[in-house]
Amino acid sequence: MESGKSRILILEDDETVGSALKEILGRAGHEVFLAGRPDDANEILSKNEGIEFVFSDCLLPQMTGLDWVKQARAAFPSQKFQVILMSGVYTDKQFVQEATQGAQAIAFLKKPFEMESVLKLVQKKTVPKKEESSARKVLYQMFANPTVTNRQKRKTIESIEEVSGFDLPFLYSLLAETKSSGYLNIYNSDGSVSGISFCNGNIVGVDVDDKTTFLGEMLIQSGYAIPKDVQTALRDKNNRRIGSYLIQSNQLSPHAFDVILMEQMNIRLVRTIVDQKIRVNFATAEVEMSNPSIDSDTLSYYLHDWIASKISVSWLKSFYVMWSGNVIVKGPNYRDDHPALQMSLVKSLEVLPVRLGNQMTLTQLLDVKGYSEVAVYKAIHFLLTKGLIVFAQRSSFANPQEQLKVLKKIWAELHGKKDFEIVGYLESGAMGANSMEDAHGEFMSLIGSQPQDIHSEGYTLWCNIKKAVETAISVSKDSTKIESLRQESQRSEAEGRLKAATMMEDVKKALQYNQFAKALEFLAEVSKLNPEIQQLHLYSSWAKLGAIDPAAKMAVIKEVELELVQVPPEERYDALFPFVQGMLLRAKGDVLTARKSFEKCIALDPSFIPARREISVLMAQNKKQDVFNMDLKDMVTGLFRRRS
Amino acid sequence: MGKLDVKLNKDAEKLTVEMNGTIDEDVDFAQFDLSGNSKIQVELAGVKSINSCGIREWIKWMSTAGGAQIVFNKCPKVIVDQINMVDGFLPASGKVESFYVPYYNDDSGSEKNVLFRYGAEFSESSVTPPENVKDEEGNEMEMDVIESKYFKFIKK
Repeated sequence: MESGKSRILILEDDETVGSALKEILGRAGHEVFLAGRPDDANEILSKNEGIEFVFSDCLLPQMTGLDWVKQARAAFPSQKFQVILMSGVYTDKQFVQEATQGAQAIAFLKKPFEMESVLKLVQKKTVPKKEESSARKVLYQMFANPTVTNRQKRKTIESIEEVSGFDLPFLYSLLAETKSSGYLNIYNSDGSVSGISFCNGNIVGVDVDDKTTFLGEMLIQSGYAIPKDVQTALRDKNNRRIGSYLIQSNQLSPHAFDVILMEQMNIRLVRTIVDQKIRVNFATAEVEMSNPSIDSDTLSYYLHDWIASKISVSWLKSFYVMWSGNVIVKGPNYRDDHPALQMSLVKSLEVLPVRLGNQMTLTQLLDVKGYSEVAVYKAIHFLLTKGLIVFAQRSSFANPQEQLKVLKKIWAELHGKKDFEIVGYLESGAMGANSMEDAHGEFMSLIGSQPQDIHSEGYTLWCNIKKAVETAISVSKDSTKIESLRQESQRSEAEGRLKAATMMEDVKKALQYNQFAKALEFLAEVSKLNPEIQQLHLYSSWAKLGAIDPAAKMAVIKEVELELVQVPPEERYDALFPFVQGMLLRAKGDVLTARKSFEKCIALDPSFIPARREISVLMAQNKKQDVFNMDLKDMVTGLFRRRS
Repeated sequence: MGKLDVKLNKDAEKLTVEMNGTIDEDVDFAQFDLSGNSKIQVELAGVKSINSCGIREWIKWMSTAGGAQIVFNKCPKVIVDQINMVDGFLPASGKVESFYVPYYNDDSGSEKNVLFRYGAEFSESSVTPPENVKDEEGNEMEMDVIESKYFKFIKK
């Protein structure tokens, strides 16, 4: 059914009333069935699925309206209609109350009734549905309205039944940019509750179940403390907190510690950004400002980081299905000197800000030569999250070639997918849609009308897509079948993850022995089996830098830089991260900083042999170089110095 | 004084708990003993907000009431939201006696909380909202919640 329109059954033995009601509701666009007797009504219910409203007279030829409603609910359990009772005879307050309760009716109409009130009644029940079907779209368009009120924000957030953890960066940004104060409570699928506190747009508190701190690692990594001091602080018998210990013993400044605490808040926020369905609730409240806090500017860096490192491209692809045909326009927050435009994801796409002013769609941006798909999706998502862009009206396909491009992309996503995976694809693209039918409707409008040339590639693709989607939706109605398919896929995914984990050990071994080409082969397989496996980007960068071909050096460096922005924050406090950074710096020719990175790596993990090896290589190179650069006197002295 | 003010009043029949303020990480429910009561009445009209830490503390605190019959009165929206969202927020022996429903008028922007009482505006399985809710200027107001979500707890 078209959104906002309903299938309605009228059970009324008075032909005049029944016909008038049918005409009014029909004119308003609803599909209306009229029955004069309970038998007829039963027949209509048996032949027509999806009846949403039933108007029933209380006094019927064979039984009372109340009895009929009860038997109809029992006989047609799949019909989830809402009941409106009508009567011109029984209108006393007690009867109305008892009948309404007995039939679980949403209203009781006393005849004669105003037709307007009938329409309002049906409309009242359909409007929230219409809102819900596009709730997620409305959420992501909130920045289009520069004067969004707290109530509008709350209502929009409330109207969404479920979101993905990957939607949270947008919610954080929205609440920060609109200077909100209050609590965003996050209800996870495992029953746990997390919460983010906002004070005038600043994040002042992050409460998550997993309270791993990484404090020691952060202090060493950032260079604020040396491993020895951290070790001493951790061994401190007085059980003082590590930060206060270091501050009190003058080994750390309070400001430096605040910076570290902010980074800790970042890591906790990162823990909320997961590919799982969650529910959220935002309540405005007076929240006290506290220190440290994350302001909107700092949040920009974190958002960039999270989108680069946490949100998967496959999720973004599904998400942007609903926007792919819409024109991208600059949002109210856009300004040419906005710092977000200087961040690496945006900068990696040449002249992107110029293209944003050219009324392009996402599909067109993905076609720009030299633009990487990963960077386009992530940069666009970052700009949307910051409110720098919004999606305007859907552009109809300018020509069949354009539609063909979209159809090809969608078919590439759907082809080979199992039915429940296609359903998942539709669901994540239209999460918040009231029903699978609504999601289907939105999807079909996205792919456009059926191409007219039945011999064209576009026609074949369009039909393939339609068939695949409709089959998947029809299978999805069989919950047992879909569940068994889901379980089968989960088993195969689990097997894949296990295999990837085993293969990752082979990757590590190969890298230890400098067998970079072999490591790259394994990594290609690992990323197919489990693209979300931990440290994939780090090991991949290590292998790429190890196998670097001097002729293609710049391209590899660029590739590794894109890999490193995708490393999630929690993986950056492991010895591997500074090691790979060191490798990259060495490739770029910054030997001094590279050595510092290798030293940081050893400080975090003294048994990290490759870092020691790299330092030795750098030292040897340095020595070699020194022979040519040092003073002649020093060189001669060096040559004749007695070895100890 | 913390951000939450809790007053306990015990008589022969029941323990009455009146709460005002914010339920967050600073709350120390341990000092308000719920054990040993057969009936507890919790007055919540004054609760302004609750965050995730507060939710966890609340659930722990409520579990100390044992098998007491707990009645919640004048639950504001922030509490109704948690009852709907968090399993265990409303204890198994708990019952909502009355709760507020926000109303709104689009034209004037006026807001109002209307108290729904058990037996009058709602029962175990149904909700019968008042026919007309008007603001101070006499404008008709509409319910400012998504009914299917807000009244979910009634059918729980």
